[in-house]
Amino acid sequence: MSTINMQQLKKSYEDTQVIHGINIDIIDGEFIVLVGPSGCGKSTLLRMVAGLESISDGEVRIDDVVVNKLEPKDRGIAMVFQNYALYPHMTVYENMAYGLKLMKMPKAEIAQRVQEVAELLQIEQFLQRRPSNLSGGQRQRVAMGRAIVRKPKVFLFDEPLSNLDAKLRVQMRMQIKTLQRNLGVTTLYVTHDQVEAMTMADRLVVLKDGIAAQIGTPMEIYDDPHDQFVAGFIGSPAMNFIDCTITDAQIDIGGQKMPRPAEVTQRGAVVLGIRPEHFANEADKTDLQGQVEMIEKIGASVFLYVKCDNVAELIVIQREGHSQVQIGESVSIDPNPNKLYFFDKNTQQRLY
Amino acid sequence: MVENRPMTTFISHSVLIIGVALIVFPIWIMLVASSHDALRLTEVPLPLLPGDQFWENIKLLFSSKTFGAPIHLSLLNSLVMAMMISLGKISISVISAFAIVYFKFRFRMFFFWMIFVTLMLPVEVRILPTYEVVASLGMLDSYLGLSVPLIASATATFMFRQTFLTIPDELMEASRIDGASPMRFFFDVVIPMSRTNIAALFVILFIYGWNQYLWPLLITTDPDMYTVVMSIKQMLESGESEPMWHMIMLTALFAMLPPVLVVIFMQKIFVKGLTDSEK
Repeated sequence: MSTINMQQLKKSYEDTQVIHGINIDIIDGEFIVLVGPSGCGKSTLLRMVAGLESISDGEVRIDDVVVNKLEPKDRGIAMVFQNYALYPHMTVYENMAYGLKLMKMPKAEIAQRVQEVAELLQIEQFLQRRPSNLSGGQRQRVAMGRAIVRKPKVFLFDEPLSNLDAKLRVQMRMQIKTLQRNLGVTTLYVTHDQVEAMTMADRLVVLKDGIAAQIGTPMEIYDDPHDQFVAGFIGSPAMNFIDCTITDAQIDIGGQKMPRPAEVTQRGAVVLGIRPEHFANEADKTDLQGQVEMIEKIGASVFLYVKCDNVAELIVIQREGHSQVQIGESVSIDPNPNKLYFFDKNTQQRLY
Repeated sequence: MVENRPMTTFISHSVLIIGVALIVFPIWIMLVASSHDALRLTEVPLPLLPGDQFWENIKLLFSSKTFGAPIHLSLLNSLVMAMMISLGKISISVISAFAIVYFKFRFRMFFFWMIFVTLMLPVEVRILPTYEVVASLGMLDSYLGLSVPLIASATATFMFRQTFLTIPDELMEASRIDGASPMRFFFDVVIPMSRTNIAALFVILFIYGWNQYLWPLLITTDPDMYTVVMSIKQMLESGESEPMWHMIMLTALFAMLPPVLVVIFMQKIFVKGLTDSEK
């Protein structure tokens, strides 16, 4: 249905620049998730596309039409807000019909469209209720209904699930994704939850301080993060970052040695990144040793927080199944040698 | 603190009963006095039980012109003035609060503070200049003269500003995306969402307008423009003759009725407007 292009998009509030030139090209029907820590500018970026924030510099094009100066209603977008923003004094039906009514659509057509969307979202039985008489999940669906009923070119979601409880969130996550795929509407979705981002996105945009740190499919970003920030942000629990020194023969981690992978040609101090899930389950090699300081059991697997000599941070190791390891016990650490990430200490850029 | 001490209950109830009695007793006397003839009220002791002249007195009050302005005319005057003041105040302040909250314009805060500062200038302080203005505009002895100078209201503007600030910004954004112009948003979202506040304010302002005394006294010289509160005062000072207490009390009774009715019928919505925070 439509494409979105952002070119050198910038946003400043008086003296502070919050968005530093972002380029994203979104193809028709794509589900793009903007993810990042709070304050990274992801909501601002979304609101610039929506037309709720002015654009300081650069261009937003929807379907190859520059929309910088267009009013939100003329951009062919629909938005779902974090707190739903339903009109509290209107019934669900009136909420959904309001936009259409303002477009001067005939009443019969409005009724038909609202009915269709209500059936799609299974909210027909609530049409005559006020939002205050609905549960969080139902309100969420009404807010989506209000967006869908306008038949927009682009859906914009601003952290729509963060007010829901965990179980509902997982449910709604799937529903939104399915719905979007069936409707085929290009979608921009903002979240700070990396699980949400990974599961829903066709492509992810990881934002950091108003810069797109990396753009790619969820697995590309997981497997091949460009820098330490992206590597640490995607994946849960987060990747371990260990200061180490590479010498000709070995990698020196706080006095303990492990073999240097052949392709690592850099020498000196670097940051070694290892994901918790990339350790051997039952290590028999004893290159690296550490003491278990804490254990988290989540059922399917166990997370060991291991203290190594001369390493500041605890190293998180995931073990499958029922691990019998006790607190205080000494365990050997055996990272998968093909899954090591090396980052520059200063620039935080990925080296290998 | 939930306690069950008979003594505390007794004392607190006594205080409440005394308080109620203090307020109710004068009203009772007023009711009683309005149901006796003029002669009985000059005798000592004052009657404490109602007499049988109530309907007679009503007939007399509405049929005669001997007590200054005709009573129904002054009741009407009061009603028109109170309505004009309360509706005028509400419409002006709701729209100015909307401007202050939702629009960015130069000197916005300056205007807000200007409005706010006028809170310190009640009618009594600016009464002479205002009189001068109204007189030169030729609005003496007219409804406009009675109500217009009292319409500008910092209190109401301030109250609506606070109400509007509690309406989430997302609603404004959602309505922008829905394609509503600012004024549509005003009528379709802001007004309906503040209707309980409007009602509460209406009750307060109606009583305020109804009870105006000093201003109407200054601005009207024609008895046909007297408000009911003025009429009562006028009746008290009716020359050398004895004050007609039964008529005065009856007039006072009628003067009390509209505010009481407004409060009774709007109480539910009034309380909701003052306490409701669900948005």
